[in-house]
Amino acid sequence: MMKKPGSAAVALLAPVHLLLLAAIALPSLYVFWMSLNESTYGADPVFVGWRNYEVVLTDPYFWRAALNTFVVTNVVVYLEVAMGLGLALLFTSGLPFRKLMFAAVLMPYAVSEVVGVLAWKILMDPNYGVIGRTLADLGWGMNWSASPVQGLVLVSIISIWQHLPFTFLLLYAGLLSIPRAVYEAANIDGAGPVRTFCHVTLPLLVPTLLIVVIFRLIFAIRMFSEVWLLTKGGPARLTEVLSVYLYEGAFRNGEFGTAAATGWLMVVSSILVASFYLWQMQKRIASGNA
Amino acid sequence: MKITRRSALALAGSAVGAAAATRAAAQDGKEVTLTILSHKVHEIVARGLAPGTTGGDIAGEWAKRNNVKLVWITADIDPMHDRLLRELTLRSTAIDLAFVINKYATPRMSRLLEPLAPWNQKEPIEDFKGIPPNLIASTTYNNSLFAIPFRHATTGLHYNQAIFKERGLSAPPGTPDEVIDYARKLTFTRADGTKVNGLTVPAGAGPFAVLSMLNMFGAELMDQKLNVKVNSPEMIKALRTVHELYKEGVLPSNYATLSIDEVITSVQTGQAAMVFDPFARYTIYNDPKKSKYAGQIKVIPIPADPASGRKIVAMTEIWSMVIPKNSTHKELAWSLIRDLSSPANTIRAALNGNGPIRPAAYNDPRLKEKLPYTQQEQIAISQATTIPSSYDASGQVNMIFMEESQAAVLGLKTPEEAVASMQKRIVPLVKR
Repeated sequence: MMKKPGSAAVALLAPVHLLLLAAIALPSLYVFWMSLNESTYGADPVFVGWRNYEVVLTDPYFWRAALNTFVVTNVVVYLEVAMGLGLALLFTSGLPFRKLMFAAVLMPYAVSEVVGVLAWKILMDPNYGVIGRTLADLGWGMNWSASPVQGLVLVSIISIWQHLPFTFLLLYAGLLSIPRAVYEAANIDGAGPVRTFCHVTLPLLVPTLLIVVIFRLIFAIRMFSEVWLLTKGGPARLTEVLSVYLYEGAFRNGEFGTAAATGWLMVVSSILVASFYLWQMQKRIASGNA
Repeated sequence: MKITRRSALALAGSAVGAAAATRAAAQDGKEVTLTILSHKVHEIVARGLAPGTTGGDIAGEWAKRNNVKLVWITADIDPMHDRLLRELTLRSTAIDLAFVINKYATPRMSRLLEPLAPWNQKEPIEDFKGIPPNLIASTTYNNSLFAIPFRHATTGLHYNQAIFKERGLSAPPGTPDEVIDYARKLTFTRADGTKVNGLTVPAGAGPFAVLSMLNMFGAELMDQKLNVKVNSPEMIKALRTVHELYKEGVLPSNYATLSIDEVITSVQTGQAAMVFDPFARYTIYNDPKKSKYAGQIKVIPIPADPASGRKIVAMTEIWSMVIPKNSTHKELAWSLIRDLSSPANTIRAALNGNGPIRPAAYNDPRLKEKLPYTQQEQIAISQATTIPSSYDASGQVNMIFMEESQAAVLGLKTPEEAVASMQKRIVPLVKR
């Protein structure tokens, strides 16, 4: 059972909590208040209750953006976790030129997000992009600016490329933290690589995997720059994700009330998604399997 | 916000105080910083930064005379207006002068800007009547002048003479049908595999260039009295034609996301034979350092359908100078506006590549000699129309037009469905 923190500990922790309150809780509450008002540039807010939520939830463009966000988020997060795990296993199993490979894998994280997306945009241009043009010459051309599906596929590829280092690093650290003795015991018991992975590595890696999935799901739900810089939500608003929908509403149309409502709906959906994984983690902690 | 007499007096008092303090600081020999928010193009033409231009540093000379340090904050069109709107809603802003494009100059924005008629009465702009009244009217709401026009960007038809010759064409198109016919003839693949598109347009950059192209067929979004005219046979015909051009590969396959920079590159590298783009782009298309076809990209006004009784069609965007109501250096900002708006400096800015808002500037011999394309531009501007923006939902209407027109061009909707949907969605927004 955990010991109750004393007054000295509370006093020492208080500044951090006050900072969190000032930096996160208060702006969030302000946005919530704004979501209950009709608000635009240069006009005083007018209280409208839940009407903004009603407007957003009955807007077909919101639901299309929500569907795109759902699909892209799931594709990106689970593919990325699978790739990150594969890479981490490769590194722990011993890889030639490890330092060089390590630098290569981490490189996308060192590139600014905007620069990365624009570089991909140029590379994938069907007319003069090195990759886009080569693919077109091979008969596998992608017309991502005209096809919403291909647009979202490219968005997913870019997002995975950008965030793979983060996923890889956490999983690699998780793998390194598994005691060698456990593997030695599995080896003595005659377990092959697949059984060792399924019955030793994976169960012991679950807490790390849960953390990775929680972080990446929350980040991916907020995805903006990949879509905005590549397609601006087009063609015909068909590749819009929730954050682009929110941005257009707030800063193109000046409708801060509905944009704030969209923001809060995104927060709620993030909490709902994360709570499942947090619940799983809590269960493992309680059972002593963490 | 409720304006009480007391708060109005307090505001007026603080404005007068700030202006006096600014003037005093400048007179005391203390350098004052004046912050300008604009698109990069305004800094280029006001300071003569483009290579080969001869108008000189107009803003820099003014700054030196007034002991002012100019700080330019530049950004692309949408982000800079987004920043300006946010600045305008603050209690006070560091932005002293800003350039706004007509599509953003809505009544909502105008209420956050300094009324300029009293300033013009106190210290008038030289030959104010030389600025066309229709331009002044477009920056006046409820009899309040809130902006001074500075630049027009009028669309023309640029064409690559070398590619025309290569494809056996000796003269530019004279009618819309010829534009389409030539665009098809100018679409081909070179021996090295490079595709040349007969026609291109920065369709991803906003509705202006696309509407300029559609306007050639007599199609328009709305008239100057805000009557929405998008559901018309002309618009249906125009969208169907553009859809066919897209399907045939005459327009680039990435039509929907084409940015201004991408279009410039494709023209400079000879990957596009014709383009609908502002006249002033002539300089960059023919820049010997960047263009493979320097000196061979020509520009003409967009030909009109002969049945319409007109010879040419042209659409223009107007950039104007504004002073935020919540700024502190209003007097200096007005002084710079006056300086940049004078007849002499209008010509100098035009020599730097600006679209002059004073028609008289086109008669200047230096302009005729240095920038021959301006003579074609003069013809176009005389017939040009703007996309009206005297309603608050201008941004939303632009978004709807982009969405529906893209759907029609890419074949996601029929032109009939797209225009019907546009009409239905736009009318209530304009009337709101």
